[in-house]
Amino acid sequence: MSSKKQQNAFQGKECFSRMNFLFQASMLMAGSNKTLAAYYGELCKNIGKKAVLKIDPDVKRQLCKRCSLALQPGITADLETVSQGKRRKCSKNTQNVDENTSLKLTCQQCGFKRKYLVNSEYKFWLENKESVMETITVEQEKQKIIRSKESKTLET
Amino acid sequence: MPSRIFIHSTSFFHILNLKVNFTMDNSMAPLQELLTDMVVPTHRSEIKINPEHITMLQGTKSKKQLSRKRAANKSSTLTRREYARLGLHTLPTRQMLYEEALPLHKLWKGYMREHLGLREGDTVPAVHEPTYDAFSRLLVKTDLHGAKIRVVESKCPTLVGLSGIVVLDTKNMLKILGKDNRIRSIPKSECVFGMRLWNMEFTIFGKHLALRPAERSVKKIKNFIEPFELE
Repeated sequence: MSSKKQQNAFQGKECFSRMNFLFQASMLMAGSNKTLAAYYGELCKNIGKKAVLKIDPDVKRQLCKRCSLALQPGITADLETVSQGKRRKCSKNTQNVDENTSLKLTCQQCGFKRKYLVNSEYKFWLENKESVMETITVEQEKQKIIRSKESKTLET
Repeated sequence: MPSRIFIHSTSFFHILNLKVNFTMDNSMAPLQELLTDMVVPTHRSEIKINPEHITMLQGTKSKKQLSRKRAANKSSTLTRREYARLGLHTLPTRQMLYEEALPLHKLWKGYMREHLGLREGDTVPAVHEPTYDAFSRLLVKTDLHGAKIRVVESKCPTLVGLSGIVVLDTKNMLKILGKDNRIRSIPKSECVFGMRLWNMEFTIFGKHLALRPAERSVKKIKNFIEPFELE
């Protein structure tokens, strides 16, 4: 019974693994073929939409919001720091990073720009410890753990 | 005979009846001159032109139109036309190399192992085994990008025997990158595909794959997994 319950708890496992695979594939193809990378990225998003699964913000930010190309700074995207407000002062000493500084990520394909604030105090909700409801170990890992235990007992 | 300009009587009165607005833009001045010249001299003092009633065909646009256009440029969604202009629909047949797709195939192998929960040395469950149903249901839901695939059977004899790595998977088509560095499109619905993973050999009827790829992983599959012959 317990195993059945645990299986049910991890809903959408297939979709998650598929999305994970597509994201990795998109990252892989980003350098060589942009059409495919964008297609995989979009498919990854669409599966999430269809199955109503949430993508982690860190992962989501690596796909272009507009054309869903995998953004790798230097290959498919430009990353630069922009400081708001006192522009002239900051341009002289660019090494300073304060609350006004933000990262600007530009997609090279469609030219979509996104700004992220650099604020060390700000945290995602997901980074808090309270947000973790329960942790699920996938069966394969369980088997690995069991196997390692067995091997240890054999050695002793 | 000196040539004369006739003004249609209704339009003439229309101009006369326009109501008060004395301040005129610089751009309107030549227009105003032209209009006054056309009117009979005795009535010229009565002319009042309201610039709101005049639309210029060239040059100026109202502020509303401009602001709308700017808003459209900022939007985060691509229209299909923009999408096509970026070249995201085109996949040239002879530009990709087979070697480029090999890392994708490697990635896919790892994904399949995780997805099907396989270990090396496992075998495919037979039809009478209880796990067969769940296994085949999983198999239909897999992602095919990166799979090495072969057309085993088809209504179209020229498609039989084609093999390669799947690059693009759409509702009715599979795009396959063959060893001769050429991308071929193969319709799903009329073909039977063979797929090899370690020591296992799968046969998939393309008829069951003919769904939109995003929908395929969500849709509930009813009893069509039994290995029937293709009609």
